[in-house]
Amino acid sequence: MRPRAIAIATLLLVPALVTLSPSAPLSGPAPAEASVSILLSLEEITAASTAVIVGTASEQKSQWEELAGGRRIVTYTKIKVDKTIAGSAGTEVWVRTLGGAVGKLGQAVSGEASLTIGSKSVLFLLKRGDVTMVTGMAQGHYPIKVDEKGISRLKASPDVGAQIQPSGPTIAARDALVGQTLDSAVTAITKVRKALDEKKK
Amino acid sequence: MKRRSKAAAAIVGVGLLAAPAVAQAYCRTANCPSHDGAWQVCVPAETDDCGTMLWWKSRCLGFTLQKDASSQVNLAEAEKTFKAAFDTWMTADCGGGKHPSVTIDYQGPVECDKQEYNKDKTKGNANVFMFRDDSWPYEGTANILALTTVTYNLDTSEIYDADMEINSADIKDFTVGDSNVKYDLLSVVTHETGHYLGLAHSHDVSATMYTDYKAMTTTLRDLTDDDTAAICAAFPPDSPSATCDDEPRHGFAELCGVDQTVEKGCSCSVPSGEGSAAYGLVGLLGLLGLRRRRSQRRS
Repeated sequence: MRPRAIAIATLLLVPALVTLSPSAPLSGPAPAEASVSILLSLEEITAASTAVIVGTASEQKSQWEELAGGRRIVTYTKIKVDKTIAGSAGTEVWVRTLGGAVGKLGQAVSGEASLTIGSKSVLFLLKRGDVTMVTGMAQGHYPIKVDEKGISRLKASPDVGAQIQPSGPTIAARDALVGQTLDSAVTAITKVRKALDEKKK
Repeated sequence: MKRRSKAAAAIVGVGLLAAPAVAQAYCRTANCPSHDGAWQVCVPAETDDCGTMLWWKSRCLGFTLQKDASSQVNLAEAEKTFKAAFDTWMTADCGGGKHPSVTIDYQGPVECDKQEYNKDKTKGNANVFMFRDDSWPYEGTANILALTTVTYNLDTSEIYDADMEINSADIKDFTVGDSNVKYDLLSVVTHETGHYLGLAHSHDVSATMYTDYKAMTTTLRDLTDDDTAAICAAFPPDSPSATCDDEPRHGFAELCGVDQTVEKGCSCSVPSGEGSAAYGLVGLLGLLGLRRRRSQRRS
């Protein structure tokens, strides 16, 4: 059997598993564009973040900025912090993402978190100097959607990109969080943060 | 409707009509103002489709590689890999012995090692694909293998520039052969070059443009019927070729914008204080650069 045929056979089994998973109704369509990235575990993304919050995007502005020696369009989104799950982020925070629109030019950056005005999300944030970014780009962004029963659940970011399962028994943050209720997601992240803090002692 | 917008809409329309009749689940990247940038339009349509599909004006496109390549993958291997990835898309079978109406030329190695689009008309551009061996400049994203940035016009949705960065600083297991595969560079690049060509992610789980890649496999190297339908719709085989010029917008430049100190297209750097003699040398270097690029195209 050719490698491609084996992979296709494996992938054919996935929809059945996805249908059984709690995330299935909320997994949403494929993203517009994407990078290729290795999936981060909940432990990895929590450890890499300086704060984890529930927040609502309220304002946005894009601009050209010097980054990595070149100039690219970045977007700053003002996030009103509704709840701090881990770390500290204040009552509002400006989060920088790559890409956006300035004048007549747009820049699409693969795999970046897509923060839209008015949307509420769980965000894993990394602060470096004066700049706050989303940890792991789209992997650190989980929009919250209220389901038909009125329960808030986490979705995958719309532009997560092509993703690679980590080797070994690790469970990806995506698999641990997407489809969960907001309350259980907050509990899971808090538990992981506590365990990480215990390890440090 | 502006003339450019009409042209874009016509091309998009032709693309949709010309798509081969196979099971489809593909999507194309779209310019969607309500998402402050890019989104997608799918075939068949999805409920949250938004915007106008991004498109390249020319049917002759180009790409370059940053000359240092990587300690993991040398320049010759990288050239072979990227050419193979684009060949896969260019030779897709659109039916009746026809192929997508696009050619993608390798324009040779370049000095520039930055993701950038020079909007200043006096400075040239290049679609640069580069490895990041020393450091990955985007903090908190060490898990990213490759990142593609597409710059486009918001009025017309025309793509102006596309650069690709490979994270060889954090990811030490890129492989290019058929055995002992870890992160297969050709698989990753075939997927990413799909984005360069304006494709978004497919809903077909077997497609190269699907959102999952299994490490230690080479499964994304080949196109499925869905990928073929997508590329044949984006570049219909029988579409009239309005232009066939692989020069990037504002002319080809081997150097990054900050190092371009002479007229557009030359892309030569001038050491400060060298005077008129230096400008004579610059002209010569410009000719040599152009000649080398032409020889690359012939190869």
